[in-house]
Parts: sequence; structure tokens; C-alpha cells
Amino acid sequence: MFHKDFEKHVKSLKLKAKIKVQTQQGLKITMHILVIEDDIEAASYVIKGLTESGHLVHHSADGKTGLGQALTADYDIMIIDRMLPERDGLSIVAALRAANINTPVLILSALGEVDDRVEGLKAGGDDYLTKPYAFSELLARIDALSRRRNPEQTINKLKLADLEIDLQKHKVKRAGKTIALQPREFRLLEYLMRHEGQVVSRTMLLEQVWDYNFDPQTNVIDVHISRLRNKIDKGYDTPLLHTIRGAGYSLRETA
Amino acid sequence: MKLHETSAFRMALRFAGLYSLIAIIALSSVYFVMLQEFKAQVDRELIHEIEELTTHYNQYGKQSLIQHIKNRQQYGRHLHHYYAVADLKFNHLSGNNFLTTIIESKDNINHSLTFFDAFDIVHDEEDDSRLRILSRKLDTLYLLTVGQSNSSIEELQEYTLSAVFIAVIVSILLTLAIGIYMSKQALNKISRINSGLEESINSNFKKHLAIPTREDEFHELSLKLNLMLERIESLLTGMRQVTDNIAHDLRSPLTRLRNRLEVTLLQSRNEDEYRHAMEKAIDDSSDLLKTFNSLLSIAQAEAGVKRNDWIEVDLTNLMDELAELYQLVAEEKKLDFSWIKPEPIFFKGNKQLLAQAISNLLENAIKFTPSGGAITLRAFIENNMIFIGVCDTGPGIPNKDKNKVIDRFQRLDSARSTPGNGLGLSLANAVATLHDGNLQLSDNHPGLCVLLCFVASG
Repeated sequence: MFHKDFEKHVKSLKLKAKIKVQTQQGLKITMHILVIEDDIEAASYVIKGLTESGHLVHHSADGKTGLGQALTADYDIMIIDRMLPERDGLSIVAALRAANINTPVLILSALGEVDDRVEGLKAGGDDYLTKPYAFSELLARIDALSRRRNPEQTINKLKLADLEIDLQKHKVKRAGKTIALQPREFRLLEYLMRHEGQVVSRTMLLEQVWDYNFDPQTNVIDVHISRLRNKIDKGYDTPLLHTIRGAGYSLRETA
Repeated sequence: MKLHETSAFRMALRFAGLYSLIAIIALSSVYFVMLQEFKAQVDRELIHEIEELTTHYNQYGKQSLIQHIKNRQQYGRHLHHYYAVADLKFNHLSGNNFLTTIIESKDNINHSLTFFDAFDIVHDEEDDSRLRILSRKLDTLYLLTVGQSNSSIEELQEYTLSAVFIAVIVSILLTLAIGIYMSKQALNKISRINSGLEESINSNFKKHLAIPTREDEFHELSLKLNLMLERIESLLTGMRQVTDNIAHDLRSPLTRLRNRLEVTLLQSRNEDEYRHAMEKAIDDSSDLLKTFNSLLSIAQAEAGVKRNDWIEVDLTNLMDELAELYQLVAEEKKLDFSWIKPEPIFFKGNKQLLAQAISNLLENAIKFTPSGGAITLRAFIENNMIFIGVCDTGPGIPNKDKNKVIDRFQRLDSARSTPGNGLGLSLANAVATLHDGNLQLSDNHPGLCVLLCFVASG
């Protein structure tokens, strides 16, 4: 019975992962990911999902071997559970940072408190995800973190197809035509542009653009996105702002 | 509990020890001062005596002095005095013979006598008592010695010592007795509280303590304990309710999810059908995740112990941002949204939770107000209270249900058709309570006004 459920779950993950790979074709970058998670079952879902999304995944089931692995091999991203046997997640992150290893770390936690989140980020984590979470959310955050690894150069302009934004002058142009945006709409667009090609979740947008870390119960983000879409996509042949079902949004040229 | 195990008894014991120490110090000081005074008095008497005899000698000569001493030894007033006159070779001339013998054996007296009078204490073997003596040289020819028995001082010394001893014993016994009495009194009250607590625990915190009538610290303690018991009781009830509600409200979406997946697998389908079923399943589980996260937020707000991350929040600015966030949603639904912006209001609290509480109120208002209605967000300070209000022109909530809607998962029948998990107001309420405030629901004629009220800080 249990195995059946498990297989079903894995199948659904595979299916979803396939969708992702298809929709993100051409943009896919293979990342080397370390997952330190003692819950073997939870880890196997994550590993399957990440592998099928095209990443190379290593796994450690306890804090000690996890830290050893993190110190010896070069990873693009690490996903570390907070509560681990032998050594807790936060101390692993602290040890890594002390050893001058600045690989982006996403901390997973079953403690859902805001101040724990703050604690996690203070310890050197780059992002924080509370269990239970959706796999799509995890995937989106990993993509965002991988982008972060290439330091954001002090660029003045971001460009995607014929859409162009000037970060200093706060100007947006599409096909040479100036588009007037509200300050918040500008920040929303800037975030999407910086994560061009990636899927960003609604929660990520609320966190990064509005600085709130709670789940809105209504479609508040959708409304803001559709307002932005009206301004940048309406009247142009190729839509750039896409809705990814069950996951969030993505700004890119191809559908 | 045994008497000697109580802290009151141990305290009485310590107190008795301390008190005895003080008594010993005080009484022995008195004893020593008295002793010194008595010795000084004897010495003064001896000096007086020797002066008188010297004067006599100077006036009438040796023979008269010898006679004078004999006379003196026969009169009552001087009976406790001893006298001795000798020449410098210690040939006894008059008075008590043994004194001369003693003095002869005392080198130190002879030595210092060259220049001074000499005091000493000697042992009288006849009487087996001790004498205080004073010797003086007369004209460098004779040695005059006056003595007085020390026995009265020694007796006094003994009496005082035993008096001090008795006083100390009595005071130790008294303090012990008082201590035991007091600890028994306290113990009675404590054991009443103890048995009351035991009853309360056995009755699942339904029974509370009887409050002592006298307003002392036990009265205070019982009141506080009762508050605690009530809180435990309400938490237990709350927990039970929540468990029931979670079981009830999560079972149906979980069953729906499971059935959808099972039915999909019943026969083989084409890929589009599978994908559709999967997407539906993902939507279902997303809703479940949201519900869980809301529950976590409420639990966090209700636990409310960690206050070290509280900061001074600019409420006006926070509401400005939230107004901007939700205005679009309201406009989308053809609602008239107004935000009455006050001067900056600062309040110490958890910014994320406050934001979530206010956004829950806004979401509710937007959700329940039909198109064409109006929503007002405002904040103001009145009587040192901060009010954050969200008013709408929706259907409102009947008075009898106003308390009910704050409970977790509580959704009025009229709200069953709208999406939501019935946790919004519970969270707002929990956040208000966490910040020592409360949530008030009132009529907006027509519609609902929800007010978050806090005591203005600073």
C-alpha cells in the first residue's frame, strides 16, 4: 500500500519534471546539488524531482557526513535540512561560511516561525523554505539561487527581446516605446527580468518585491501581474510574461 | 509533607541560629564591660586605701601605721581587706603574714616597685581564693601591701556566664517554637493549595482553587494559580477544538485529492487526461499547504514567546504598502477602495504578523463585499489606543455569530460557497492578542467593521 503511494508520487513528480524540462527548453542549466536531509523518504522525492529536472544530485543523511561532503566537493547549490542527526543544519552553514565556501544554501525547516527564518538567514543561509512546501516552490527557489551565484554586476540595463529597462533612470521601453510603470510595478518587472527564463512563485514575488513572507489567500499577486502584463505585453506580438500553471510566472521569449 | 522537610522550618532553624549568635555577642559584650567595671572599682578602692595609709604613715610614722592597720582589721568596713607591712628584706612587720611571703616570691613586683606602685593578682592558699593586691614603697624603707578578695568578681563572673547561657538557650528555644508555629501555619495554607491543585489536575483543570479570604500573599498566589489553571483549561479546550476541526476540515480535501487520483488510475487514459487530473491534484494539495501554513502562523502568534525580534513598526507606512497591494484587487472586483492615511503611527511588534493580520482583514473584506460596494482602510489613535480598521459594505455578520467567526475553521453558512479556510480572523485575533490587543467586530450599517486595537506604545 505504502509502496503504491510512493510510486504514484514519484510518477507525478516525473511527469511534472518532464513538463518543466519541456517548457524550459534551451534555458536548462545542469546544476550540481547537495541535499542534506535525514528523512530518507522526503529526500528521495526531492532527489527524484531534481534529477528529472536535469540536475546532478548528491545526498547525505546526517549532518556530519553532509558537512564532509560539502567541504570536499564543489556544488552549485546545497539544500540543507535544519534538524539533522549528528550536526544541525545551521551549524553546517556556519562551518561552510567559516571555511569561506559561499555556495548558495537553501535551508529547509519544519519550524515555521518567522524568527526562525531570520535565524536561518543570519546563520548564512541564502533562502529558507518551511515544510510542508510544494516541489515547484523548491525548484523555483533553487533556480533563483543559482542565478544569484553569478554576482549581480552593477548593470544599468536589462534586456529581453525588445523589452528594455533602465535601472538607474527607472525607464521601461518596449520596441522603442516608453512604458510608464508605478514604482512597485517597476520592482516587479526588475525582479522578473533578473530571473529571466526561470519560474518564480507567487510567494517568492511577495517576499522579494513586497518583503512579506506569508501566503496570500487571494489572488493578489495575480492581479498585480495581470496589470503589469497589460502594460508590457498588450499590443505586442510575442507575449513575454507567462503564467506557469501550479508554479508561478516566468518572463521569457519562448512560450 | 513532614514538618522538618518544609522550607519554613529550615528558615526558622536558620533564624534561631542567627538569633542565638546575636544574643551571644550582645550578652558577652555586656558581660565583659561589667567585668572591667568591677575590676576597676576594686582597683579604685585599693588605691584609695593605700593613699589613706600612706597619708597616715607620713603624718604619724611606722608604729602608728601598724596600729592603724590592726584597728582596721577589726572593723567591719575593712574586713574584706588584707594588709601587710614589711621591711625591704621582707621581714614581716604587721598585718597578714602570708601576703609578705607571696610578695617576696614575686620578682616582678619587687622589680617594678623601685619606681611605681604595683598591682597584681595572687593566690591566697589559706582561703583558696584569689586576691587583688596593690603594693607601694614607703620612704624606701618599708613595703606596704593592700589586698582585696577577688571572689565577689569571680562569683559575679559565674552568675553572668550562666545568665548568658540560659538567655541563649531560652532564645533558641523560643525562636524555634515560633518558627515551627509559623511554618505550620504556612504549611497549612500551602497544603490546601497543593490539594486544590491536585484536584484540579485530576479534574482535567476544570476545578479551580478556593481563594483564601484574607488578602495576603496566599490569596495572591491562589488568584494567579487560578488564572493559570483557567488558561491551561482554555488552551486544552482550544487544542481539542482545533484537532477536531483540523480532522474535520482537512479530511474532505484530502479525501477529494485521493479519490481524484484513484479514479484517474481506474482505467488507462490519454496523456491530456492524466495531466489534467495531476494539475487538479496539485491545486488541491496547494490549498492544503496554504491551510497548514495558516495554522502554523496562528500557532506561532499564539505561542508568542519570542519577542526579541520585535521592532518599531511604522504602521502608517506598512498600511500604505498593503493598501497599494490590495487596491488593485479591490478595483478588479469593482469595489471602491479608500485608505484614510493618518500621520505616522509607530508601534513595537512583529512586522510580518501585523502585515498578515491586516492583509487577512483586507482579503476578507474584498472577498465578501459584492461588486459595487466600498472598502475603507483606516488607522487612528484615540485615548492612547491604536485602531486599525477595515470596513466594508458587504453582508456583515449577525451579532450572535460575531464571537464564533474568530474560532479556527469557523465559516458561516453564507461563506461556504466562497474559497477560504476560515482561518483569517483567527490569525488576526491571535496576532492582536500577541500584541496585547484585541479584535473587535461591529456593524457598518450595512456591512462589517473589523477593528484591531492595540495600546499605543511609548
